Amino acid sequence: VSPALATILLIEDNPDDEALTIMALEEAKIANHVDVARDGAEALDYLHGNGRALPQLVLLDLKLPKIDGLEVLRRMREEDRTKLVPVVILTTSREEHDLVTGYSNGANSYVRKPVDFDQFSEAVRQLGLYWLVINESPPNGR
Amino acid sequence: VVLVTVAYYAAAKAGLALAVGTKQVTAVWPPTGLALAALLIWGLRVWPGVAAGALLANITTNEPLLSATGIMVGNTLEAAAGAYLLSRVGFRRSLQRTRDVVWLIGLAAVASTALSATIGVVSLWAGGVLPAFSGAVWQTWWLGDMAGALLVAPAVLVLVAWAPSLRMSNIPIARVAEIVAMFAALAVLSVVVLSSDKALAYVLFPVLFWVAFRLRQPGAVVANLMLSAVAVWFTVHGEGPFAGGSADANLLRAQTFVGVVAVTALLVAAVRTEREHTEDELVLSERLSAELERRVGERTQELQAANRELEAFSYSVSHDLRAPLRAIDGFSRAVISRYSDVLDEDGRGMLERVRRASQRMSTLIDEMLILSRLTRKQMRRERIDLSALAGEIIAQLRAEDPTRTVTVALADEIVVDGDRELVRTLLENLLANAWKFTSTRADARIEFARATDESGGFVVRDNGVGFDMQYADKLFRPFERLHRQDEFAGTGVGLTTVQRVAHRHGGTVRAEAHLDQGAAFYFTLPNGAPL
Repeated sequence: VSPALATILLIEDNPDDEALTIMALEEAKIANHVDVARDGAEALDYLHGNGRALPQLVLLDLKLPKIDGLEVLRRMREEDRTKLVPVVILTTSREEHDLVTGYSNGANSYVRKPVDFDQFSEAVRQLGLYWLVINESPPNGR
Repeated sequence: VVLVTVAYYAAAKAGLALAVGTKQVTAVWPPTGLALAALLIWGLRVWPGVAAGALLANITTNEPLLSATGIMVGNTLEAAAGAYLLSRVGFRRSLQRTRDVVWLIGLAAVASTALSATIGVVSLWAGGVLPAFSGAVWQTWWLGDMAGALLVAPAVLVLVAWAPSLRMSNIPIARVAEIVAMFAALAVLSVVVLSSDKALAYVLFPVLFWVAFRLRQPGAVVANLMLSAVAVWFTVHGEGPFAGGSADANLLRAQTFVGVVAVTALLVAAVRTEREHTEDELVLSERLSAELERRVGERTQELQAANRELEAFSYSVSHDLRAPLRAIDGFSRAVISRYSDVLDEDGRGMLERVRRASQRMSTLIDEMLILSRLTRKQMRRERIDLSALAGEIIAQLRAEDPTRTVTVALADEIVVDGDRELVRTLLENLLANAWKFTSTRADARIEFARATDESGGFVVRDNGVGFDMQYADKLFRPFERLHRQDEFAGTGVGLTTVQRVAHRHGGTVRAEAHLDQGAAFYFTLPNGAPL
């Protein structure tokens, strides 16, 4: 893992989805290191823990044990340190409530995971390309 | 019957004690009221009791047998006629309705008593007691019987009807005190007023109203008896406002007073009761509507709770059911790509089937969710130009399938009130179906128009493959299909969706089709009637 490449934080409780996401990132030739937090509390510990560099991108599932994804997002936006970190909600839900609350809480993007892996892989590829390459990250994102 | 006989006899003797002038004719003839009450309570079949009592009473006053028999016939007929007429009109013995009082006065007190008076006077004349048919005697007889019917009959009827509820223990002390005060006032005042020769009898009416108003029928009948007794007593003894003329004239005045008092008190009591009933009904209907409102509130809460549960359920379906599908599809795909060197064509094909199945299941889940969302979605009403909407949808269908040639006929200016998203879903499904099921036609034709039937609805018609009407009932059930997946793709949710949208607009949908000759879907949106 090249130290020049920033980290992606994947917040995902389902090990299958975790494996599939990592597989998709690999297929898209995204070489960034991926850290995984498996529930909301672990994610907040990771993000608010001192001494660790912030990830360049957070891929956030919504339905999580302990603290759910929307709450993780809200608390991230409350903290000065994490409030500008790009967060892409990557979830199964397409409920209007989740969309509205997601964006209200400061999500940068909202992507629904398709069942068809080819589509999923393509979505992850585009996400990585956009958020890690095309998009200019906020200054404290590094 | 024996009881009636004895009571009649006793009442007759008591009444005769009040007789003035002609011994057989009295100011108030209580047996008339008693006989009437007896026949009303026990029915016409106790008439022999009345007859026996009357005969006995008259024979023991030493009437000639002929007169006594005649009087008996008259008195019996009077009571029977009164009771019969009252029962015919639906009279109620509790006297709580104004019409009961009016019937009692008209049918029993005024009409039937004339019968007894006529037969009685003729009998006295025939028996030689009277030298001639006397108009004065007839009049006294008539009025006496009338007073009896107005005083005694109501007293007996009301006390019998109210007896169960008139227990002293049921009445509060304050009420007892009021009752005592009322009757004491009435007694003192009546003695004072009715013993004086000044015409002050009207002073008694306020007290009479008070009693009738507060104590209703029981109070009225007791007060009537009291006032009548006092009035007749003083008049017979030559005192009070009604005395001072001939015996007959005095009697007439006393009888008139008694009659007016009785009618007034009974009417006041009846009006009061009716008013109370009306008030009770009002209170009851208010209570009912409050109860109804409470129940509606409860149901609404239950429904809202059910709705929330349903939402939680769909959320869980959309999220939790899809995750395993994604794993099935994703890892099948991973096996196909990473282990291509160890997989033969057959194994690869099987994994592709696994993937297709999981993707289809995902589509089904989506359709189900859309369906459930349609049902619970909050309706937002607005004007919708159905013609324009249909045009947009057709344009979209053409864009997705540019190789097809389809003739489309859309009626102009069809505008309805409805939820745009829902109505759009309905039209999309019907038009997409028409598009799909005409795909085997070279001359495909789709039409959207107003229905020509009485429904005020609309129709989407095509010349596609149609279907056999014997399966029409399956059309609108979710996940039911009339075609195999390899003939026409689909999930079987589209028409269910159409039906739900129509229902949510208070409308219906029905199909008309023939195998291979096209289909027509009629729908109405009455809550969004054409503007």
